[in-house]
Amino acid sequence: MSHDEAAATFPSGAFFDALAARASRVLDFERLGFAELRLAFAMREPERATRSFGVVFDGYELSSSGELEDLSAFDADAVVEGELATFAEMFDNIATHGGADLQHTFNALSLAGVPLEVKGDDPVRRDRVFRYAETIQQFLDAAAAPTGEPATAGA
Amino acid sequence: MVGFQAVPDQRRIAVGELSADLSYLERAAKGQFDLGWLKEPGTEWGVRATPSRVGLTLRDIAVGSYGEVPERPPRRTMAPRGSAVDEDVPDMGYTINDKAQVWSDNVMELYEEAVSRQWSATRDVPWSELAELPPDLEHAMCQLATVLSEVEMVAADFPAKWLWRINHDFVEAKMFLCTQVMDEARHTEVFRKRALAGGGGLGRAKAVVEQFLKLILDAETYDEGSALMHLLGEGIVLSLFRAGEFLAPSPVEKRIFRLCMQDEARHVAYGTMHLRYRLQRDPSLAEDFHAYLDRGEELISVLFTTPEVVEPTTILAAGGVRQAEELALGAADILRTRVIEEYLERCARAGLDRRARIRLPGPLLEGIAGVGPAGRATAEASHVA
Repeated sequence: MSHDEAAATFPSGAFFDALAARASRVLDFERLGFAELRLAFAMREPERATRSFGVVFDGYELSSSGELEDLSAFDADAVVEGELATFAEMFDNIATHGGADLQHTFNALSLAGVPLEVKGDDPVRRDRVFRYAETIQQFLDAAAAPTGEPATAGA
Repeated sequence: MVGFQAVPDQRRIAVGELSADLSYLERAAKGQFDLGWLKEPGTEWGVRATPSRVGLTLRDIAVGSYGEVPERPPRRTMAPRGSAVDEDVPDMGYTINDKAQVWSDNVMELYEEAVSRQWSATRDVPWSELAELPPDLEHAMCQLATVLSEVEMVAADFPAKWLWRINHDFVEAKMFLCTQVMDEARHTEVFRKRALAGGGGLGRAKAVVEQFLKLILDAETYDEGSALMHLLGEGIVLSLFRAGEFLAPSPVEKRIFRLCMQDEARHVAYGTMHLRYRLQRDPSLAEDFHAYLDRGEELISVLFTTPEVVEPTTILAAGGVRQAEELALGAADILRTRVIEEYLERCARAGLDRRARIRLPGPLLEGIAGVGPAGRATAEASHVA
């Protein structure tokens, strides 16, 4: 992880910028297959406005849209919503274990709608989260992957 | 049988209804080629497809007349759409000749995505990380794998049964269905492998499961089978894959369920948007689709009360039989609610509001928003009967 990436604090647009940059280096997108997804993370904090961050999977490329001033303007296919503390715990878990453990995968945290919920007005667009489930998990796990190496050897 | 037959002109031989002009060989040997196909091809020349950022996609080559998919093709032939076709081509006997019967607006993208995201059950699952589980958990995982290995293959059999009946001018839809056949073969493979990999082996195959699969396979129309399979059956299995990932006791099952989830979600995306395409062009079909789903849901209500289907996920969620007995069906209820809610949302997206009509008994609909009394009452009555 570069100095700039290490210095990016969570939550911030810089954190997601760094994560997307890192994932772009370490993920084997051609093996995973291409993806078309605009994904937003909406993080609630007690007595504070919800903060949202966006990432865009575009073919074999990935970019961060940083912190979103206007979530609706981002036109997300799906919004992952939950308490900031849940997201923080997920990324801490990934960093600690070199990838999410069994209880902290993106799907495990969002299946029941708590503590995370996958939202979207259009179920077909929302279901893209499931169509790219492995890509999304490897993207998140990249927060812990060694720089310059594939996040996993598998698909 | 096609056979050679002597004809009066010694330079021609008959092959069934065709004939071979042997004099052509003599002319060609002298360099006197016909070249009619080159001078007057009868097709659109000069149309150039430009690759997009992921390569040359089906959408990229849908240019000029080649991108025009007829609502009702003039012929029933395997000739590539856009080619110059002989007048005397044989009739292939296709029975699905209306575009709306198989098309969806996302089918080209889904085909490309399917090809791009193929995976191997042998290579891409970290089998060496399979955990040794307590016997009750291994039994539960093996029973779940048995059910999934059983149900997945029908989603290959059904499109395979209909593929040869679909007009070749809808080739993109046929190609997508071919990817589904491959996907489902891999799902059948991976769950069979999982059942055997941990030493537990296969569990029970239940008649009710087979009845639902038979309903799909025996569907009298593609409409009926697609609604039952792509929308209802695969929608439920997609939720089951999500639950499987959540319950997975090791990285092996985590990976299996995530990879299967990706494939299944593509099939559901096709089914949802296909039904939407169909209903937009012929809203009068809505009642037919309601009737198909009525029958499917009635069988699904039996599935939700089948121990071999319900209990494995409950035991895996609780961490064992004893813990599951304490938690009762709490975990299963969460899954059931999610399955039904997502199914109803997809029906609505397709243009078919099932909330007022859903044929599940009252106890299975607890926690589902906006379910109308008509469907509930009907379902309860049918179960009492």
